[in-house]
Amino acid sequence: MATVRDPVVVPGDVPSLELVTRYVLSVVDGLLTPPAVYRMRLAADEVATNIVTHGYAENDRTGVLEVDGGADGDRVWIRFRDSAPPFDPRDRCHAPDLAVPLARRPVGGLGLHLVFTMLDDFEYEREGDRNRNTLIMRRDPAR
Amino acid sequence: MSFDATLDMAGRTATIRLAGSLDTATAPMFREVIEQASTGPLELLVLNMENLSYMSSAGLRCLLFARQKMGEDTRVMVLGANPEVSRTIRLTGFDQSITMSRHVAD
Repeated sequence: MATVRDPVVVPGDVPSLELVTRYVLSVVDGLLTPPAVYRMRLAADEVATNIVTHGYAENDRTGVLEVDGGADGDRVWIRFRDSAPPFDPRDRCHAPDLAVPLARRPVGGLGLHLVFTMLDDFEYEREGDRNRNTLIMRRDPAR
Repeated sequence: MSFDATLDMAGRTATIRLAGSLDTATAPMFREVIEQASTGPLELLVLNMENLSYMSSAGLRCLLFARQKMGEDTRVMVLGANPEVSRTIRLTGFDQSITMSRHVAD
């Protein structure tokens, strides 16, 4: 049976990230195992942080972040919509070069690397003038 | 989400105890404490994560900052990180430059 939680809309800024985390936890707590809850929280935090710091702030834009979530069969999902310039995180994800010593490591790209490592599935779509990112975890007790 | 970082200096060892959630909003506080710790010559910087429940990439960037801020002669050790935090650190290969220790006695 599908369940969908009412969306929340928050300002696209750093102080709102805590509200996003609270919402995400309220959706996935009880639907996923505690380690999977942690992974979804982390991936959602990284995606939301990316939208507010890169999508909005670095482009001198302001806007809102709309979040909803739910479960559908074995899929537990969290979805973000924002009106920042088009950005498909799948184009920017590259694994960090583990051979480079930490002292010489560039700081970019870590968050998105975590997103794709944590999640079972990720979907991006440009929806009119908005970005839509969907984060998916599978309900599989074996994991 | 609360966060706290406290610094203890003993000789050439600095210990920073972290508690709560380390994320984009709280990372600047941790960076400030790393700055304080780096004022004198250190042999060892211990990051005690026993009470840290959550760490995002903002926290990883702090570890990178700590590693780059301390000279090559300073060992940086992460102590008592929970399995999820530990996994995040290892996934990015940070454990190659930072010693990971599960228990205080290790």
